[in-house]
Amino acid sequence: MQFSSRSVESLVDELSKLPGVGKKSAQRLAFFLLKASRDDAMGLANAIRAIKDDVISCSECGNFTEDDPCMICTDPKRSRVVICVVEQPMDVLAIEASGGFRGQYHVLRGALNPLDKIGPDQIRARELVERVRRGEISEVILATNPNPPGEATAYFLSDLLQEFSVSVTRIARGIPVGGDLEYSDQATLARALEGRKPVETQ
Amino acid sequence: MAIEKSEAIILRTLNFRDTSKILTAYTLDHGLVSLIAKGVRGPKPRFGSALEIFAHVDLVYYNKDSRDLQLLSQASLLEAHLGLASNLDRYRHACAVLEFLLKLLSGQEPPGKLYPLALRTLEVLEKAPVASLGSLFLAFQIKAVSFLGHRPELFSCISCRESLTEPVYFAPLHGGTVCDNCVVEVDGTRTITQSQLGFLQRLMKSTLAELFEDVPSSEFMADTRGIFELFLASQLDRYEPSRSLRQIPNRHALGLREALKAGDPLGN
Repeated sequence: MQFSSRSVESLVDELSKLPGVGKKSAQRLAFFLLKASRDDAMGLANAIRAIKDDVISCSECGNFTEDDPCMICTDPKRSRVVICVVEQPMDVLAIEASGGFRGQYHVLRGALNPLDKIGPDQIRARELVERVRRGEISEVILATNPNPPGEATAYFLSDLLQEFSVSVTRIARGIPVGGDLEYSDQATLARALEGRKPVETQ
Repeated sequence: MAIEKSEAIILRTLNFRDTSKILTAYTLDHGLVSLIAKGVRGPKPRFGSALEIFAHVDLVYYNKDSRDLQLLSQASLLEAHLGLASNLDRYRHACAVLEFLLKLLSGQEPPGKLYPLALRTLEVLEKAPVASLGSLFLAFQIKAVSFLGHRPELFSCISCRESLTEPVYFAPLHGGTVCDNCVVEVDGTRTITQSQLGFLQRLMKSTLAELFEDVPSSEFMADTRGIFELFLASQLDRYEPSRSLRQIPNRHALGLREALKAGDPLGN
């Protein structure tokens, strides 16, 4: 499509590179920004510049941060003896939103998948071992995704951590809260049955 | 646009946009098919574990010959092969099977014996003794290339067609064994021991289940694999040695921990 302005065309091109944004949506966003106040538009531009200039990877947990170590790693109210291992920074957000975990994180930035050229050197396994070696950790929770690469990564890490006196646990897998047994596939049901727990009575 | 239905093995998955996935499936009826599964990674995943690698599934999709990516409509899980990811050795060998199929298949193969072999290999890799996984993978490779018309000659001389007597040679470029009388006429030969030849013959003739007890030493295995890799490299255009076996360590935990202490890269 021919635009009357090269700047608008360039903005549409850039916006359409975003995940889930097609050409039409990019045009709508570009015209919205054209009509928006200068403060709002510059606020967005500055926010984008800031994440590229200021955000770094936390040397401790591997999560995105502006301060190294990050806010979670330095929070005195959080337990320092439990580490939850996740594949991606987005997984930290999901677990934090659950409100059910008050320990430290370790972001691997991937899972073992040779078909995608990801081996042990491409995930932050060595950094995890180094954290555990320092001796403060008593439990490592493996919260990698419940798919074959995530399972293989959990197996690999648990094998690697055997020599340390830490408890290595895996997050539970099974029927989601609010789900129906009727619509669960056989693999999910099998995992749910494997991970069954005694009913606690008062 | 035709609606197609076929049994399949999921060979590869790629997350696409926020909630979709692009899949490469090896179907029983139509060979290699690339599919887009829309909205399957959202808060309510539609097909559960049916769209993960190793899964044996029934697929329904809309096929249009003019496009490369077909639209997935339904997927139901027949077998997830969960055990393949619960052990690193099983995982690396199962990934190597998928990798080999992805390299081997062009998408034009007619239905044949390769699909049942691939499925049976995944089933066997899930349950076989860990020590036999190397033999099983090599047996899969020999049988797979045989089904696709590249059967190595291991029982007679490729030149004179006579039965073999020691010493025996192997000519990767010419696709098989060469006897002592003909070796001067055939280029690119290398020696193969009687035990290596016997092992390769056994892998070709035996069923996968019969190989559970076939556990050669790692040195013997590496040498024999090396000979067969030369054959694969010279017979198949797109062949590359398995990245899965190379990249994921096969050392047991102690070896890995020692590597960490010594500061070695984990994958070496």
